[in-house]
Amino acid sequence: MELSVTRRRSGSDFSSFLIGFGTLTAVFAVLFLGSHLFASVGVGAKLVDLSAAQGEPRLRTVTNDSFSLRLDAGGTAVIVIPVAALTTDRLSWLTFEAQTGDPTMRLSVQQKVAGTSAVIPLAAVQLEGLAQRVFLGGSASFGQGIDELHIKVEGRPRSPLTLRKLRLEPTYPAFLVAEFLKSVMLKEGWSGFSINAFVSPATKFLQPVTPFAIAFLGSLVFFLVALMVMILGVFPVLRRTSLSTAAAAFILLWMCLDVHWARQLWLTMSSARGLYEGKGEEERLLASEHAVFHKLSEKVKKELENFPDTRVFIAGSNDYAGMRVNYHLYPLNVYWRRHRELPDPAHFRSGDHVLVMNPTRHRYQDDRIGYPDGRQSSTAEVVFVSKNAALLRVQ
Amino acid sequence: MSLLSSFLILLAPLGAGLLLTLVATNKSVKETDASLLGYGLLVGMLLATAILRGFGAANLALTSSAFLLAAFLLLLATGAVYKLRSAQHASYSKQETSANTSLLSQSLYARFVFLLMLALIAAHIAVPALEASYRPLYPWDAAMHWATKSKVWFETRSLVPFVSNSDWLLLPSDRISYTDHHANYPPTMPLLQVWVCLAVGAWNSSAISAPWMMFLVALSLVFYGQAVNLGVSRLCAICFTYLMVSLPMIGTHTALAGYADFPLGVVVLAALALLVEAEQKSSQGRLVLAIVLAVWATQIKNEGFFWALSLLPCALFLYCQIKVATALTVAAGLLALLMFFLIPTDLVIAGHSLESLKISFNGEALAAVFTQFTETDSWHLMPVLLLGAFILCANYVVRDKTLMAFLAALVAALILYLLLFSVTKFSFGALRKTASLRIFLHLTPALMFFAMLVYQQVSDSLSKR
Repeated sequence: MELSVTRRRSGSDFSSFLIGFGTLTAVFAVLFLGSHLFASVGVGAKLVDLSAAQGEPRLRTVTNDSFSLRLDAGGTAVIVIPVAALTTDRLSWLTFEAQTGDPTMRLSVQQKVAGTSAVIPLAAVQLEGLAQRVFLGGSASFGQGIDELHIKVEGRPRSPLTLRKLRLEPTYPAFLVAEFLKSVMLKEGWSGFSINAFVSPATKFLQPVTPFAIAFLGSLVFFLVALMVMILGVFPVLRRTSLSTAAAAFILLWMCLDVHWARQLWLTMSSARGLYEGKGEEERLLASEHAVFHKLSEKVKKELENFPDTRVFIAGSNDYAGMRVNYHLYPLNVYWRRHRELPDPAHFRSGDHVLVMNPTRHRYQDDRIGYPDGRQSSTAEVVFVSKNAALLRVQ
Repeated sequence: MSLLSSFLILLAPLGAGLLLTLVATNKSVKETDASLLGYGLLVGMLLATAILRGFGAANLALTSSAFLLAAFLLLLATGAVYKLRSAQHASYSKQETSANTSLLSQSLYARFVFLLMLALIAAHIAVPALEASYRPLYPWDAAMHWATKSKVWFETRSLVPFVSNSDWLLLPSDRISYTDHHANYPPTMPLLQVWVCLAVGAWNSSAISAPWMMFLVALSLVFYGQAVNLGVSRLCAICFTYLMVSLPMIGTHTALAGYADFPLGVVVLAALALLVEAEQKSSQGRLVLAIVLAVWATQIKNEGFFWALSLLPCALFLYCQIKVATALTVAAGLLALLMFFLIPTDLVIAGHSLESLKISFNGEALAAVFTQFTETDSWHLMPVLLLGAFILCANYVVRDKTLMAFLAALVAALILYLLLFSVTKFSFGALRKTASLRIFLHLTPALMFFAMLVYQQVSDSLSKR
């Protein structure tokens, strides 16, 4: 794939490359400087309080658009958004930011029709990353006499969920274009899912048509032309030039996608630098999203200074919290099992310690650790109790 | 811990690795190129883990000074071997000079594109590496079963054993062993983290990401260098190196360091490319190094065993006639299928038994494996590139032994990959997109390298018309 074959061709190739490169530079400039260029547009500033909505506002938000909740003992919660005053068929996008420590959490949006108790499912939400954008207009029944939107949340019992910037947004074309540009410039940030796949905010916005799908179609055309040129031997004069141009076009197409990704990388790196630069190990851990786990483990380690060889069992039904505290507790000899809590009580020895973290299915009653099935450990004394955890020593 | 000793702890094994690579390839220091630097980096990391394993076997305390002494002795030993070897083969390697034209002889356009790609590669290495250097250990599995081991080994200054949860519960009170979520995972990545912490002089949850940055640098060097060694034009090689390092999955796994998937992908490519080069240059040293790297792959993650096995068809196509190689590969496939029915279901191979894999076909997961490439932005346009390469290669593989060998290894590996996510319990990893994309990272560098070889062939054949 030699891009320049002859000096004669290299002039025109160079010009075409410069045009492409110029376009890409412009895209780069818009993406990296976009937040400054478009700062004065302030789409968010048009937001109107939903409860105070009169007439037909173009953009609306609910009151208290940022709040936290915990799922109930059955692992469910329902958030009700009253929308009776709105012309909902023009407000077919529900957007919000969601944060949870429960990777199994599922959200779905439903509508309740005025005067009935019927709740009709509208859309499921894929909790990938922070920003969520749900299109409600896909259901034929959406908007007909609707008086409430429900967000049904399902997950592990007592799992926390924080929702921010809960908004209903309309679908007119200019808004869509503005929203797409916003989604391109949105910082995705890292989540627990990031290590498994990258789903850009722009892809979430465009789904089911993704930037990949658009690029895929472009590439397919490229390959069809390339196959005609190379394999079938048509257009012999253009053969070589076509390969160079096609290769350059493909790389430019790739770079267009890469600009978006590179910007995300740059933004996350910048925020990490802002948060951690110049800090020592302890300060960094305290500044991180895992600070609460680090603090708890430091407290436990301090209590166990005189028991360096003790075994420490971790009980807790929140896998993520258990796993993180487990990591921070090393080099103590720690036991933690995913999807389970404590082993059979027969495995405890005198001198073992048990760190019980909320939420948990175990209970400390009558100086013993109780199991969900009624079994009990041998007696254990309390070493310390804090807001969300207790350290026990097996007698 | 002085700055000098920190540097020496890091550089001594890497220096020894480079010298060993030079010995294996019969090259002198003056002839060091991108691929040799890349392989030197990989072999250096391998040696660092070997030193630590030696400490563990001898039950010695893992101290910075002891490691420095051992690494320095190793550097001296490899230096002596290199000196001895270069005296015996004074001008041996001159015949191996690359046929590739220098960059300076290329057009202005080519030089511009080359430098642009170089800058983009540098940015794609620097930005995630910087992020990793700031951020304390972040991803889930990294804290669940990789850094757990390194933290214990570094803090206790001893390679204390890790055993399964159930075994740990039954241990007598006088035996100190630890446990975590996957106690049987290979020790290479935790050992590399221990190595970095020995250089730093303390446990540092950001510095332990450094090996991932080294793997990214090694990947870029090996990919570009081996491409040039195998006859790909410098411009094509640099373009494909950019395409590869710009993949979001690779950037993510460097920025959020802690998983073994990306390092395994680097070592699989390094072994495969070196195996091919060894045959092309009839170099026993390279062959030995390729085998060492393949074995090392098994020590990075359990799946490495299967990717190492997939190198066997590649070796067959390189060293046998095509008909013989095809017959032997088919026979090996049938034998593997037969073993599937004959081996005891509780026999553990590479961390898994048939019983634990819970074999049953899941068509939905198989479909999810394919749609994952279009539903996420993890690979840019790589699926298109690979699809095109696999279609176009049909025209060239029969005539080109290198392509055929690469194809044999990759097809074998891809079959294993599809089986993993369609007939085992890991199918949930495809359905929930929690593992199938990550595991694909094991093969991504090798697949991209193969695509590059195919497109170079297309270009060559067109220029001959």
